[in-house]
Amino acid sequence: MPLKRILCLLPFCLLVLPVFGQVGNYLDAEEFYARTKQVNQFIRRFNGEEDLKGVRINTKDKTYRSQKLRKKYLPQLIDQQNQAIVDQLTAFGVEVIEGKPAEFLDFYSPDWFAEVHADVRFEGRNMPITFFLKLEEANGGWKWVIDHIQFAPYQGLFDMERTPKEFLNPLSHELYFMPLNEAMQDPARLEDYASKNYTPDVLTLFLYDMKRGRLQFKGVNNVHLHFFQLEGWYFELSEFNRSGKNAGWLISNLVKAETADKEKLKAYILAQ
Amino acid sequence: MKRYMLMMLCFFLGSMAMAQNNEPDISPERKQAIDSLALEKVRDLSKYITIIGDKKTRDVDANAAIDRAVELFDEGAKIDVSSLNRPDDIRAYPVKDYLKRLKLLNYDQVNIEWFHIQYISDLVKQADGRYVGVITIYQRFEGKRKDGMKYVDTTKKDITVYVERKKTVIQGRTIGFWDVLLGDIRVTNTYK
Amino acid sequence: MKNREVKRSLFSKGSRLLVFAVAFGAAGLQSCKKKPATSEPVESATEANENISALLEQAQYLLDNVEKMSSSHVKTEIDRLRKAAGGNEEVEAILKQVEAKLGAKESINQAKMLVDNFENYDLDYVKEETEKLRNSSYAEVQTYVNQLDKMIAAREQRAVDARPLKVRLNDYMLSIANADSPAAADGYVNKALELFASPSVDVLIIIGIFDGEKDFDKPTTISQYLDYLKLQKKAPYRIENIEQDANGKIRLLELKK
Repeated sequence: MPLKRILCLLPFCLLVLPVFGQVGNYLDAEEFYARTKQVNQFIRRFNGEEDLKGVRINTKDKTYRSQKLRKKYLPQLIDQQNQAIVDQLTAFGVEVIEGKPAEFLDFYSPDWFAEVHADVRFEGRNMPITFFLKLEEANGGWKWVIDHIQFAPYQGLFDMERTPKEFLNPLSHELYFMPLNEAMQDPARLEDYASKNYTPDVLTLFLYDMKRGRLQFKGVNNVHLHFFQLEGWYFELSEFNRSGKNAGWLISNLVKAETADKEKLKAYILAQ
Repeated sequence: MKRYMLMMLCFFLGSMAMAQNNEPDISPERKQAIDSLALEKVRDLSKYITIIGDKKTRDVDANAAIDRAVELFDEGAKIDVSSLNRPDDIRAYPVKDYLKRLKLLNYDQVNIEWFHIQYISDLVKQADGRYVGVITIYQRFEGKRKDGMKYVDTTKKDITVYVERKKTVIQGRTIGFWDVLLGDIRVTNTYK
Repeated sequence: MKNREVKRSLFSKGSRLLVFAVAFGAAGLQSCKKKPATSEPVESATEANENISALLEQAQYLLDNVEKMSSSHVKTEIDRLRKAAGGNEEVEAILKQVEAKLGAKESINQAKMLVDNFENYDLDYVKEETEKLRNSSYAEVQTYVNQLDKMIAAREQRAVDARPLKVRLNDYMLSIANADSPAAADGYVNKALELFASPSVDVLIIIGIFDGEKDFDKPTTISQYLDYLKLQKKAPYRIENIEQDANGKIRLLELKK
């Protein structure tokens, strides 16, 4: 910025200083207010529960959850660089904000979960792992709990889809279960010998490997939140760390989905 | 008469249930007071950080500021440190280590300023009965060396805040107070 | 006295109802065989009487247990029983007693709470609440009111006595926050500490007053608080209340934003 222009702006800066408290190459107030800085803010903005400066609106105030405020916020809450989302915005707004009844997001509702991408060290190699976490009520409070895990070394380890071919004959007991010797020789067919009620549990494997020291947790890389709370819609929320006002926690995926589709979507996300 | 006995029992159990489930929700006015108390703690921390980073600060005052800043945190709290030059290399330090490193940073002039200390999330009750919230602030760091080398960055800091209702007796009076402690801080570089 | 009368009348009425119900029940059974078509209205009358009798028992139960229940629960129950009784005088008489007992319980509780937590309440609030209780006809409340009057007078006197001290302390606190150098601030800190019984005297910071009751930040000590002013270079709280020991030294400081 040329010096002359800075000098021209100086009186203005001094004027706004007490209000916004910063000048120069700091994040300016307008950008600060525009960015959706927290998931909490995304939910409050989507629901129309806070004003433009992020101050909670009193529930008795007429602007609280007002359609006008929500419609004003909605375009700011999506990734505007994603044309597929922009194209659906009007239909989405009409259904969730103007629909009867209007739809709101609820932190405490079970229909959302987190997808957390992290790095681990496994048998001396750095590898990605994905955790799926959900909110769970405990002692009158709340906590995030691990619900599911995706980890390449565990995938394909169990083949529960096929019909078991191998089995221990029903008179094995008469031979002091001698056929077990044979059965335990082929690791690929081991699950054939398990009860039909058995389902492999990757979380148990993960905990076991962590406890045995085969796995070490390195850190979180990326977080996505999946919301299934709105009637007829699914969306994904991600953090966009970039310049400009359209930044922070924004809708990164928007899909029109009825209840049956939602179940398929959930299964798809968990199995990816 | 049996029917009345049953009615009485229901009535009695009803009053018992009422008596047990009497934990009051925090009123909006009180919430606001707690929010501003939490924001004040973060403002205090920002001042301590400025003092600790400032090369003109007396050593004794920098150490006092470190001690006071550490008192603002919950035990075991960590701060993620990142650098614009090494965006992938983010490491979490215990608060005291972080502040000590801040004091010893290899610059001749350091200016740290926290701004926009105003966004606080809703408080959510967690499994141990304490309430937890997150305050988001931005930090501008400027370090200069005598050789003219200058490093400037702006980072976003998401600060965990724990709020717990406690009671203590002082001069024979029972005092109800809010214990506000800061927790882990996540740091991300912001692009402008 | 009134209570006993109602109980007696309830008892007599109750026994009459019981006799009535038994007699009617037997007659009903007999007539049932002969004239089934007329049995319905007979049963309804019995049902109505049974209902009143049940409501009387419930009202009496409420009266006997007012002390054990929460006020809001008692109020809900009064409303419910009143509605169900449909203006029945006997039920209403007991409910009036419940209301009176609840009123007494609430005023005594309020008065006791004001006395027990006197220092935790805002003075204006205590004065206002004491005035509300002053005309109460309950002797126990009056005893509390007299006690509160004395406590209010003592607190007001204390505030008057502490005024010069308050001014001095306030000046020191501002000087510490606005000191030109850390050394100068240290000097003011030492001077301020002389006003206190010890550096570990408790400092309470009021963050708000809700329903008259003070809500606090975590208590700190005067030495830590003065250190805070020095480092932060700000004095965000004003002095609300000072408690002194026999030597005139401050033994408790209350601040407010």
